[in-house]
Amino acid sequence: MIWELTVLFGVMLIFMVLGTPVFIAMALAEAAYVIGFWPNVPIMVVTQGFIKGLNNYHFAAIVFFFLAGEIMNAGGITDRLLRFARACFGSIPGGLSHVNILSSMVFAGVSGSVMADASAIGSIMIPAMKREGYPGDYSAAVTSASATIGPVIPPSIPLVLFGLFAMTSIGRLFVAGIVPGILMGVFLLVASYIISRARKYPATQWVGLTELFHATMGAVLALLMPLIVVVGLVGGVATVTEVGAVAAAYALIVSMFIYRELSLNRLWQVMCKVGIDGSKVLIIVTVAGLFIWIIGNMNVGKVLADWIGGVTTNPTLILGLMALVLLIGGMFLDPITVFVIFVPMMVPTAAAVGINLTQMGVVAVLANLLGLGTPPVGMVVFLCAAQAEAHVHHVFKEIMPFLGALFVLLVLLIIFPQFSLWLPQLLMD
Amino acid sequence: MTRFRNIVVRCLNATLGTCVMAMTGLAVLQVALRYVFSASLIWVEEVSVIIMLWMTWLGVAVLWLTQSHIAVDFLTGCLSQRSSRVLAVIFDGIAIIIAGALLWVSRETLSTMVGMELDTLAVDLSIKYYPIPVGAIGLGLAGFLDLCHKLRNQGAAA
Repeated sequence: MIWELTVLFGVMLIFMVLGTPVFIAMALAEAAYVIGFWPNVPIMVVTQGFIKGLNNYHFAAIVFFFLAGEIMNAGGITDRLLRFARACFGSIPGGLSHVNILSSMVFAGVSGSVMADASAIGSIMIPAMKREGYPGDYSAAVTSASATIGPVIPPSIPLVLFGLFAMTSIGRLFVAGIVPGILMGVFLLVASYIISRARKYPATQWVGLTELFHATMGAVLALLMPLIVVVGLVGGVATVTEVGAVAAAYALIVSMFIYRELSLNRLWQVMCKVGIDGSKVLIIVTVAGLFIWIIGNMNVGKVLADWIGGVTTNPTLILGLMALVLLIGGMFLDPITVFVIFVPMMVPTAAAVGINLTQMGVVAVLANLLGLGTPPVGMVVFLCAAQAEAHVHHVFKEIMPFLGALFVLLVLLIIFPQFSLWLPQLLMD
Repeated sequence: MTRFRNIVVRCLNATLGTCVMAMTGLAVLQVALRYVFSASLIWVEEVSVIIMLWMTWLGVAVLWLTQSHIAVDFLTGCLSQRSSRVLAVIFDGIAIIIAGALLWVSRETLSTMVGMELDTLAVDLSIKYYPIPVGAIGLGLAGFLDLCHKLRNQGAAA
């Protein structure tokens, strides 16, 4: 089995590092395995594996949540959320830094993707922070760190993927992400406050209760979006896929008929963009169908579970090790690829040692997101550094205190399952 | 050639947009029917999966032509321009080979599916498998167009 795994992962990693698109690297690895270990994989299984990879209606939820976020963003929601966040936190020292974090927290309830969050908030907040005298490196670092809240607070694309690969309730995962997502914001706000006090970053003038009221009213329709998702799932009103579609329809009604900032032409552009973004993710899921079949056929999950079980049976330690693997994976690969490759292998081990899969999902997403902000790849940092016209290595330096705060939270989530499990147990059991 | 390439991208983009619209419309319709008329359509999920499969495989060509696929680029960013160009040409070649292999594999599978139907629709099961050969043709075409574009640019630069 070692030889087979070496061929499968070796070919994939070589081509990934060379810059081949991830789905092509996976397809080449599968081809190498099929040819090299013929007739382990019959030809029929190849196409069936590809179809089986995507033959689940729930994958459409990914497209719908992309659509909801894109429509809201195109419909002028970002400005309203920023106004709301500024009215709440602008007058505290380092105000815009906190506003940036709060905006990301609220935006997380609309979008489920780190990059969408970073580009929407960053395009407005980074120039605003620079104008007020914040260094570009710091502005980019705050935006990068706070964008990681996006996929933890529902709706969340990585949690949908985790739920489908681990065959666990996506609704529970969504509800489980709420408390850790809010805690992420709180931890980042504390880090931001300490840094802002030490560096004497400016505060803006208190806007007054009237402006706070108007700003809240302006943002309230966007703030309702995560509520629709959670109530829809907890109340059993619809499946996660249907909730995604309803959220997209809600975003459309708000942006087009209430905010009146979304034209038909722009809506069509959004649809086309979502089609491309959806294909980008779903083609990896499709090609991974055969990859997962091969790994399942080799019994990798069981062998791994037996091996780890021989070393330790402590669920906390094993969850910690899994988080470490996902964190390191996130340093080099994008979240979708990491989840597609590692989650199907890890789940049997987690189940065997009694790790709650809902807790594991939240831990896995946070660990992977931490990797997104670290060198050498740190995709979100590259994006924000480009927006801030800052040197990437300076941004990596500035983001460290924020990542440190999130790492502490990750450890707490691993040690104390209650952080992730309390709310789903309260609402859904 | 560039004009043809742009037309292909635009047509595929429009198809992907239509797929998203159709999937969303069907899902919203399903919820509305359930709560307003206490009825539901049994074929919605099956049709949505088919649309999703077509969207995904048709999207491959657009992703290739617009270079918007997910890739790890921390090493390629360090390469010289010449090395990057050579790698890009090799990738186009790989795409064409993979497209050929996919076409052959899907032909083998499709030949075994005669007479099989979907669970909820009286439609041939192969409708779920056809996106693979069609997507493979798209990938092969995209690889070929990209290759021509790069070679012509290199020729012009030389």
